[in-house]
Amino acid sequence: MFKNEAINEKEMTLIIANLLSVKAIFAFPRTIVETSGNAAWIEVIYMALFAWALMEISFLTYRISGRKSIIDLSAKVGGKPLKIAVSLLVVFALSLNYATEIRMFSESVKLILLPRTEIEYILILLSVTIAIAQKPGISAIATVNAIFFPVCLAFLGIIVFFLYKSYNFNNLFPVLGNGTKNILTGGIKNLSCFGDIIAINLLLPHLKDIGIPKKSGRKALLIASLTMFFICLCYVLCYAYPLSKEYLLPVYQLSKMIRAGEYFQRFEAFFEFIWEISQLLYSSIYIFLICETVAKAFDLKDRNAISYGVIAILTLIAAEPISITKVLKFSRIADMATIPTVYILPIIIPLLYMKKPTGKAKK
Amino acid sequence: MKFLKIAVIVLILVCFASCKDAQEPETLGYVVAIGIDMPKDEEKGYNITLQFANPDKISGGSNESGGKGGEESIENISVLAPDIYPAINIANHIISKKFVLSHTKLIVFSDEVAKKGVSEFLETINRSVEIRPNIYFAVCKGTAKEFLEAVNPKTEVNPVRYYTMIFENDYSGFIPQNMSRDFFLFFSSDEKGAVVPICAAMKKEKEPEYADSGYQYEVGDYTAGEIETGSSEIQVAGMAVFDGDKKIAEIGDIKTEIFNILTGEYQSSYVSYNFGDETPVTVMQMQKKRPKIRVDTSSKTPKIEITLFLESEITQGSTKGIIENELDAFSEVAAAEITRQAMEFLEETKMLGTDIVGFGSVAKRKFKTIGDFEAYNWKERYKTAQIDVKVEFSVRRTGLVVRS
Repeated sequence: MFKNEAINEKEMTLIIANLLSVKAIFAFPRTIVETSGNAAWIEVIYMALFAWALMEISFLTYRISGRKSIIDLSAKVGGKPLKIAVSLLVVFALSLNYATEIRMFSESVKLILLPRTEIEYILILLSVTIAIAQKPGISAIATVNAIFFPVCLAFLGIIVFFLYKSYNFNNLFPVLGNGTKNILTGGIKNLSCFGDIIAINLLLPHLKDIGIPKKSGRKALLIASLTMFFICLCYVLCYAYPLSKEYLLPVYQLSKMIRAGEYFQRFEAFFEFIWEISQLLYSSIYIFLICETVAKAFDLKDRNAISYGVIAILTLIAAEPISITKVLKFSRIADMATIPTVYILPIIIPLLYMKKPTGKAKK
Repeated sequence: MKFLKIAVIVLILVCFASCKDAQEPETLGYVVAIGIDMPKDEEKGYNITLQFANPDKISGGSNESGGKGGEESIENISVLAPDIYPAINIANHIISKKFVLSHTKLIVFSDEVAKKGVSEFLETINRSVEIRPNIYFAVCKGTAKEFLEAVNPKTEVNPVRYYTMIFENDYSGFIPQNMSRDFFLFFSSDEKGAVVPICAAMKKEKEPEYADSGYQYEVGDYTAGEIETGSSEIQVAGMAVFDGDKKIAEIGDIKTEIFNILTGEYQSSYVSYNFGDETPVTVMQMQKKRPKIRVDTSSKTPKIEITLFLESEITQGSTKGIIENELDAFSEVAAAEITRQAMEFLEETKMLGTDIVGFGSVAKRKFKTIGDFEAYNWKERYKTAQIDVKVEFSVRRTGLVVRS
């Protein structure tokens, strides 16, 4: 572990909650509505329960692994080759996610706020900001996140509350939307939405005791599930299917609908505020995780030495797709690719560690 | 080193303070309404009228007494273009402002355009980041250009507020209370048909036709442009009914009020009832609670039951009898009149083949999946639906007078 990079339970909870909720705030409600129709809120419950079960299974392995991440464990199981292989898999999954997220964010910023500014310029500006934000390390990011993320949640709550006039409860029917089969299969396909729970495992060495990840993971998943549930429910209540599957940024669309009296309109300014802050924190945490994994894989002492290079490479990857439709396709591939890594590795590696004969047994 | 860091930060702040997308308010032309007309025979595209605010007249400029309002607060420009944004593009080259649609409040389609179909404009509006979901659509009798040119917001300084006050009038039921968002949500769905208010520049062409009923007794059944007023240059009354994105019929103001009562969007209005006297009994009528709707889809012929809850306050009683002694009888007469009007209105919608009240949204509850609902084919089934309307009408107050 690098110096001064310990995080407490509250910070850990909010880091994981941020990672899981940011996707919910942006494009995910549309993806879920695409598969389940107006039963998107049921799919969220199903996905949350599924992710919860997988998370609990991975918690069972902590008794054996202690505060070691899958990278540390893989080194003990299969030496350097396995450590590098596992690290590369994790870095690949995180990088795909990061690249699509920052590109989608930049595209949305261009669409809503800066229509005349080139996308490359926005990407570079964002990357510079992320580079500055991630430099002080996870402890500083966690502290800032612990201040701002609750504010973001509060603003989201305000948006959900002020939309009450636009709720049409008939939109919840037919209650099963596109059918049970679509909810069940779609729920598994969209499970990558909760994929960032892998961060619990990667951050294990930064925690003070082994009780923290379990408590934080459960609390964070609850916060994120509730956030996703309310956003999806709110979106479905306001926008009838099939129109609801068309909007790129559902929460932005919702915030545009708010009219609290004659003078309180244009609530999208709130959305833009929470959107930018949570995205910046999300991206900083991601860069930290990617750089730390790379540093561990190749036994580098200074994570910061590679961070600027990693940010530059990922910015170039993010800039590669020519249009937003290509980004969306790329994002679906990234989601499919990340599911095995984020859910299976944290279970498989500790199991392999358990099976590995100890020094005594060898003798 | 410290100095260098501070210098870099200051440099970044200075460089990024004036970003490429910065726009000064005085360089912008705020479009408040858009009119869309068909072109002349040999022309292509649409004749698009942009009505934009004149901020100097609204704010009053250096005038201490404030803005002027009226015609001076708005300007119109008409261009021939295939869509709204190409029209903006052309207009940007004519007027020395950059037109923005972030304050647009009204989009008026001419009758011809509405009959041809408005889906291409809906596509533009839905995709636009600038245009908000809570603007109003209207169908104009005559041309949209004539309508927008006749707009003269004498009572309001701000033209956006003028349109808000006209199209969101809670104290009258003569226009449908819905916004563009409702049109987007339902124009392509099976569960509900879309309606839009009718507007017109004043052109008195028609002698008043009085409704053949005791509801809104001796009040003319008009659509916009037919109400004789003597002063107003524009009118908004009645509604245009759409099947998909095409206008198929017009409904007068009294039936529009019934529509609002049926949908639950009705707030309150003054209604005169024939109570067997020369002088009608006038009440301030209010919707007590939203209608209770039940839809039975167990057979191929859906059965719809709707119960309306209305209450009222007497504002003008009978000159001969004492209305206070006949409140129960009056309530029965009023309930019967509303029932008759509602049944007539609903039969008309069945004939038109469009469920504009939205019974389909309630019928959806009976199905488990969207596929099941689509298979039931609500749009077709509605044409043969059996509808039963019940009205609970009560007189709660009698104004400041109680006779006995």
